[in-house]
Amino acid sequence: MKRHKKLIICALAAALFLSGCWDMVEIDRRLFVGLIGVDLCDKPNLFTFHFSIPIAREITGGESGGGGGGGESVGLLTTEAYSLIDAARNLSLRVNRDIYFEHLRMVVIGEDVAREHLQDILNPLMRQTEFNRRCRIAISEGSAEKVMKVTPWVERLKAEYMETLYSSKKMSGKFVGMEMGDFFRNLYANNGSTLISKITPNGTEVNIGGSGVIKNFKFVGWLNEEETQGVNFFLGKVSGGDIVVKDIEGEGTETFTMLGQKRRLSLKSAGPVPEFSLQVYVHGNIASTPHRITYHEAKLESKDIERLEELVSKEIESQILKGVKKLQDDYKVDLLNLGDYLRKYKPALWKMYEADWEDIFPNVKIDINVKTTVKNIGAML
Amino acid sequence: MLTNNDLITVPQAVVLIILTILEIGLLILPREVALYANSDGWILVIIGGFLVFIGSLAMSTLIRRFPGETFIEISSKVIGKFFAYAIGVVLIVHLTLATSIVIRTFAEVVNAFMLENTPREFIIISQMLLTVYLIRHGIEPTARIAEILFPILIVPIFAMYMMAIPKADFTELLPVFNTPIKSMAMGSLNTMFSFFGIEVLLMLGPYLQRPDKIYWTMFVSVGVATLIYLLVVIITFAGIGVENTKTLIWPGITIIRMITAPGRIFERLDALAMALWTIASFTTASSFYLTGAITSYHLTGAREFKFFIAILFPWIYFIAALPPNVIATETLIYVVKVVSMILGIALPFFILLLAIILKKKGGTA
Repeated sequence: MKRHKKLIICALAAALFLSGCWDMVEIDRRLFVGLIGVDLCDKPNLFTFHFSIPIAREITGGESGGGGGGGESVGLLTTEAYSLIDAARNLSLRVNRDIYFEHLRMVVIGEDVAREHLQDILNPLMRQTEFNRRCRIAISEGSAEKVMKVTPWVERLKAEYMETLYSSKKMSGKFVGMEMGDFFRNLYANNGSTLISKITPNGTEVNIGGSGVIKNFKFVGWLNEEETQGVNFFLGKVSGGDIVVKDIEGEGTETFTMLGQKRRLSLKSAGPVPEFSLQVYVHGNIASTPHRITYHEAKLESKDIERLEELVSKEIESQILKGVKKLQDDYKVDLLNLGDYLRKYKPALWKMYEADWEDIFPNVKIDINVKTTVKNIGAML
Repeated sequence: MLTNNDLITVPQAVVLIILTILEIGLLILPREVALYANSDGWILVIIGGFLVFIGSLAMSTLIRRFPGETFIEISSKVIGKFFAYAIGVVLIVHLTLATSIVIRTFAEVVNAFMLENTPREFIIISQMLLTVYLIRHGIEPTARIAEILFPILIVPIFAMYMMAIPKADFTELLPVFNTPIKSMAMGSLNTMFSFFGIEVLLMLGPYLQRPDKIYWTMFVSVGVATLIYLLVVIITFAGIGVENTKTLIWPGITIIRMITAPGRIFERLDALAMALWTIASFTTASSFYLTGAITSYHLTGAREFKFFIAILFPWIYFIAALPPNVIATETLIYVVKVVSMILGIALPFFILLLAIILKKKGGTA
């Protein structure tokens, strides 16, 4: 009997301590938010939030082939609220399931919101622990709603589609691929200025080329694709993509695909306005040549390669200059991390410039030097 | 090898001290050093660790000088019964407070990152019951548990933070040595507080199998703890960025939420981080709680210490449930840390000094 007593006590204790779980939510009671879009609302202080939520039922139904057709695989919820969390709570009046953010893939912020209220949107993303720092963040051209309403033809899920778009870093250097964690790091390290991904909706697809400029926690303008690539070159972040140059004799174009890039920034001279010099090393393959070279000259000579290297270097240099010029003249914001470089490598000098770096930066002279190396020319001479 | 139930071996003592030290610092140290020294923060960890080791020499020497004697006995020999008892009471209060804040912080982090709706009191109670279950068995089982949990804790911590390296930007650690000496000094002092927990050795003195190896024990424990803290700080700085680290309450956990583990299976490591945090917190709480009970036992000369576990229980629970929010807990943590360094470094130093002057020495046991 005594042994039984012990057993009963154990069972009771287990029932007491192991069963009641306050946080238990069955997985089928959850709605996993994939994308969040934020737009300005015409009422003061209010924003329009869009949540894109994959519908598990439709996805699995479609996969098995039966499908019934016509079922949207992604649902869109829209609400007006003061903050992201407020929006999620608002929805609980309309949706019977828990809105769950752990699997969030991307936050799209409308252009108008980003111009004035970027911090207000970012704050809960940092404060609330349910938002992970692995998701992407982008500013949309026009309203975020258009991005949210895109129905991609490639993938079933918008969130999956948009997230994996950003993994094309090996294919192009014309966009900014940043996870939210990196975004926050840059934002804080740089006094609230950073580049942010740009997203342009276009019916059945989106375009992530180009980038947005954030200055002092406010969105101020765009960089186009070339300028973005230029800045990426400057920061040493290009790991793929191509450069197309006009053939030297005016017969078509030559395509050069990049495999990778290195860069070295150094301070040339201090003075009241510092001067920098930038060495960029790019290596890659020749992907296409004009007809002339292979047909009339029958061979790609080493002088052709040298010439091409030179042309590519010049093209890259001009792209970098475009990006630098835009940042220096139009936006007057140091997204080239020059201040960061001074702070990290020349702390004594930085103390001198720190106070009015914003005025100094537009006048900074940068000496750019690009060196291109062709590694491979493909299977054709 | 079977060991005597009352004595702990050198490796056991080492892991027990390491696991007692590793706790809150894992989560908040990056922020604290960033606030004091920006990118020089990681240097503070090294200096702090070194200072803690130097400071602990007094405690070690004291234990070597009076082998096999409890701290209460030592201090009553040197400074008289009255003061010794006063110190004993202070120690008990301090250890109770320390247990409370460790458990409270544990509950807060679990609340924030995992179980949002679970009442904090419930987390506190269940963690305390687990702790009580362990320490009722005495010091040797506690040390043995530490021995078992040590690799379970350390290996994943290393692996986890290593996974953040692809996303890390190590230029965040620059510039080096760019902080004024004054804030470096203040920062190092503050970093020492993150090593709170070394004072448990004070009470463990009579239970050490080899008190002659105590310097070595202390060196390895503080050294390993410093290395782990260093790793956490460097990776956090490189991953989150120094400026952003300053704004986060628990940067040590936030960085885990940036990591995507290779392969799709374990994409997220949050759950692993929470499990490790539970272990770290549990070992620390149990060694504080145990030392608290043992101190009471030494002080009163009672027949056994188990009885005091029950007496301390409501107090620990009460204090743990007391602070209204994280900010208040942080204040309490700070107080405990400062007292801890006073008890762990300044007090033994003072008693040792008096013992040398008064030529008091322990019997050669």
